[in-house]
Amino acid sequence: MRTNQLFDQIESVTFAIRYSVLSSFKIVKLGLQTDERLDELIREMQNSPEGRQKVFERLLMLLKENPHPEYAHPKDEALVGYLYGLSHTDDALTLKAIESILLTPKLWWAKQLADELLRSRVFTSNENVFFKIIEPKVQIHTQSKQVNSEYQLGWKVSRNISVVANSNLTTSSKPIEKQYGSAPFLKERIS
Amino acid sequence: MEIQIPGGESPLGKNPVFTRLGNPIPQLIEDKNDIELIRIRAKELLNWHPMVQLRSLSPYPYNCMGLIFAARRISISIDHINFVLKEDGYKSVKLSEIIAGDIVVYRFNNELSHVGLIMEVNRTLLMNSRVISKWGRDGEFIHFMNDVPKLYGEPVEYYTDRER
Repeated sequence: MRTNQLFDQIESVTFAIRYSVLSSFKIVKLGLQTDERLDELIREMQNSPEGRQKVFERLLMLLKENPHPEYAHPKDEALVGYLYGLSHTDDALTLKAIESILLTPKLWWAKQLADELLRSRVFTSNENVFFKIIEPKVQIHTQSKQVNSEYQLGWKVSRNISVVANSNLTTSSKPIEKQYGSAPFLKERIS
Repeated sequence: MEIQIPGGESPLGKNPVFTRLGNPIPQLIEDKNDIELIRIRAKELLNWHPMVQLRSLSPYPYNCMGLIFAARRISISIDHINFVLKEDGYKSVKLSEIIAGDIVVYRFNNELSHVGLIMEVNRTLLMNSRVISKWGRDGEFIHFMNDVPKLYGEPVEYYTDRER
């Protein structure tokens, strides 16, 4: 099936209600793992760097599609699907997608998956490990503050994280600043 | 000023809710929903479940747990249900013992997935007993006990706060 047809399916009401009716992130993950549309999308992406880039760009486009920003993001379920697909096929794009999702307000399941991926995964690119954030010490704090009459959104990763980053996870760790060079969005937000 | 923002869980939240023993129930901080989007999704859900009756649609963010344990005011993770049941004095009952007002808990792949309030018991065919429940961020529905979205799995546990 062509990727565009899968986009239509994943952005459909039928796909959305499979996840919007849920009250447990564990069940969302079980749903993602058994979703035939996502299986097919992942197969499409596995052998196609262009396909992965296309999914990533679609994710970025949907993030901006919130015509009523006072309400929950209407594409949350599709976004969690695309993030799930990227997380199985492309670490570099997954990291960028996580950054964009965490900086976009009004998301629910997509944000929870982004948080979990960031805390539990070893991200690699061309067989080099970017970094690994070791549970349970990492805490991602989503915060907002009021400046004049506006709310500013932001997030930070707490300082007491343990990080291992090298090519095989056996040699000594490098300084954190260098490790985060592969994920510059994190570097800026480390307190 | 630091405020709570949607996307996480808060020990108290804006509308603190406590168990009968007086301990706070952690609540999910969700955004309000666009009622038109909820309406479209409810229509699709009714296509998939033609025997189900839509009770209400609300932009206010409460879920199945919030309907039963917090009077439609908040969302609570289903993962807290055993804590709430214990603190509120609920006891497990057999399916054959349920009456209106008791609670049914669903599991998918052995994981907690959903909770509903039993409205009417069909003694001849217990699975045809009627339940009211809130389907995630979507509508509030009246349905047969086993007529629920696939990822809710099966009704497997039943609880009552009746003295026995």
